[in-house]
Amino acid sequence: MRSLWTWLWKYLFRAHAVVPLTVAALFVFVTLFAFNEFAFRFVAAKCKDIAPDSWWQPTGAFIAVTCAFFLGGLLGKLPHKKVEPGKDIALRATQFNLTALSLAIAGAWWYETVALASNGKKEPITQYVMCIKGAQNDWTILVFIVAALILGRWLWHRPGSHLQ
Amino acid sequence: MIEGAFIAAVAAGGIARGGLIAIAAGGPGLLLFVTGYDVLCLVKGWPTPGQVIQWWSRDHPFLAGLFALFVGAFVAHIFWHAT
Repeated sequence: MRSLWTWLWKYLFRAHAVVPLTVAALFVFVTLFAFNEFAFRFVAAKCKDIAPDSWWQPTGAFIAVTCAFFLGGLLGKLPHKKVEPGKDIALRATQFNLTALSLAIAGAWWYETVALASNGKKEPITQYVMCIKGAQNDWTILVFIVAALILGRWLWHRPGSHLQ
Repeated sequence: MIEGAFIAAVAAGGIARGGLIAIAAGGPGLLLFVTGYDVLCLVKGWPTPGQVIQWWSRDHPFLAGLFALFVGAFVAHIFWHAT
């Protein structure tokens, strides 16, 4: 038991691990509930109309997502293990995954363009997001806030301090 | 334009459930994958995606800015649609 706690402390109970651990734990449930809601309970024919603007939507949500992006940059200052760039397989795996992510984003952008130009033959991603927002507005905003937090943590370079 | 398509889709009886599930569960699922991989990297002592991007963005700040603009524009487009 003691060795388990030692292992957890050594690898996970560190400030730099708090963000991914918290988000991963939260999003296990968010993903499962989202799938359950839209696969089994939600009636696709009943997408709600767009709600009128309020203090929270879109202005408040925009501010919240922007603040999350900058907060992510600040979180990049948390002490982390010093890992030097190398030519090992882990570095290449990470680079491969990031390239795949970039390609996926480009593909989504391409599909969005094609769908918008199809005069209703294809449904744009925006349309799905609007329907999901109509049903689960606050949860949708939470997903965008967390995504902005992670992007901010990735893109704002902060050398920070290193653990020994 | 998007709002018109949305209203037309609602009037026509809804939108494809498969696409709806893919977007609704795929978004948080992607974040789950990313953070799960982040945790795996922390445990294994591998470079995390954040560290790799930071190395890259330090060497290529202009490209990193363009990438942030690209992602931000896409997110803004699908979230803050024109009404």
